[in-house]
Amino acid sequence: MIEFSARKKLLSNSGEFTLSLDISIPEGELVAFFGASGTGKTTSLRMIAGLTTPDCGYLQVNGNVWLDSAKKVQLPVNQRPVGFVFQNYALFPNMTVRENILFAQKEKKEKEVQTLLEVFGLEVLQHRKPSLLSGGQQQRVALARAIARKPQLLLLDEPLSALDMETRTSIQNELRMINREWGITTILVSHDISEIFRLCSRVYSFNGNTVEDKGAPANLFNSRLSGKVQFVGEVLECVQEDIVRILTLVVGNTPVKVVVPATEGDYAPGDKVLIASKAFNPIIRKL
Amino acid sequence: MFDILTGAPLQLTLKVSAISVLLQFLVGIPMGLFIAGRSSPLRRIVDILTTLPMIFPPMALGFFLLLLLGKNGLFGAFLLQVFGLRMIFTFWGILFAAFIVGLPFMVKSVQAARRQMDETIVEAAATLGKSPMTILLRVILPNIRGGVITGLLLAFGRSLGEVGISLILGGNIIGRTETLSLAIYNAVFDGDFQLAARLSILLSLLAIAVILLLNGTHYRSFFLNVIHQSRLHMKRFKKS
Repeated sequence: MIEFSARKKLLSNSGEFTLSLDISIPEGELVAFFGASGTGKTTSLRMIAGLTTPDCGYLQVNGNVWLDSAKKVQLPVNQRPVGFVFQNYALFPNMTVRENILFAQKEKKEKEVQTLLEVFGLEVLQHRKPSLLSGGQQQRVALARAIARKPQLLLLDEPLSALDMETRTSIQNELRMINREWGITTILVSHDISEIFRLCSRVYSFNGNTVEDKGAPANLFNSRLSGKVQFVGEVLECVQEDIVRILTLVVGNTPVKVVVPATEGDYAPGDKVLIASKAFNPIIRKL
Repeated sequence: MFDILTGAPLQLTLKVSAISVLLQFLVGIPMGLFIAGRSSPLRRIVDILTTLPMIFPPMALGFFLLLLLGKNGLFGAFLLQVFGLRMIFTFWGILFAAFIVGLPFMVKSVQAARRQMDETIVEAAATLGKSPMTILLRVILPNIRGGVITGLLLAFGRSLGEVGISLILGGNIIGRTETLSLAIYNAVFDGDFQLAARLSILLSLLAIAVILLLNGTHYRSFFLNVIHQSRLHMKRFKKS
């Protein structure tokens, strides 16, 4: 079990605010930090890793106290057994794929490196430098490197945001496999609702100042609807036509057009919506 | 014709250049890394002090150093009493002049290279449990290598051509503190243009040799990497 509470003054587009969180994460679960940009998701991940110091806080991981501001306890970042996958991958440019993974190990174990290279499909690329790899390949190396550290906690900061749909699905499967096979508690920062539905057992919603434990992803995203068929989409365009509005949405990789009454809420490009069907009529709800 | 190759100026220049480049390497890297960190009053002071020899007129700087390092100067008296070291009109004065004029180029190059480096790779190494020393040796230094080599080249070039401070601190004593640059100055002053030309060619060749040597080590690893990658591709191609 991970007990984490912290207060930290942050600066967002709308001004200064104090992030206040008090959460418990069950051991071995894959959970998501979800919320708009600038609400403190990455900062929270960095505070857990020890890369950012909270104004005050408490962090206990599997019975070990990593941070206790009241008792002035703060375990240095290099003593916290975490695997951190950065948004920009942060691979060492001077090392090959194999050397990147070897570097993460406490004691050099070539056999384990070989296993990781095989699991992540990196065998052929093992002697290449990161600059010669594609985004998806770099992401796999970053994950393999984080696992090689044998972490108690895997922290993933929007790791799939820059990848295409196919690569994203493939790495999502690998993430699920890692969580299942190795049982490492994993925190995933993500904006992608489908990704959270597919991977996570629990969602923590960041709402500006506070963080709420919403339980299963379904509780957060579809609590207000009873439609049986439903998708999460994003508004690309909203055109007013007399008494109706024509919304162009993208669901997965497919653009669709949906007609909604003009009186039904305001939509802007970029809005996330839930599309459901009830008695053959499409229902759109802004998320 | 070849008498200049065995002369004292060449020997002194080679000795001073080699030691000053080594010292600039050892001092410049930690200083460059230090001032590349988060801004603080101490860092700003060190930054200004290291930049001074770069922009300060050499003659004026030489004069101030003469006052400071002379046997009655603040540091000169200390060095004489504690280490028995005389700086003025000796080899040590020449070495100090070569070191101090080249150091800012080394420090600034290291500072720029460190600031351009992606900070997340340092953070990534820390999350992998590595100590600050391991991060320095395995991550930071290999990734600022280009900046270090550029800094060494610039520092070497500046030290090699140093005249103003060497003239004041070294005294331009023939056979003792006369470097190649000062020997050219002396030859021109004596009207021996042929000797000045030969010494100038020798000094230029020396500079080119060091540039090639340093650039060679920089690009050698690149070419070795390309050869290694090509061999791997060939092996895979043969297998398939």
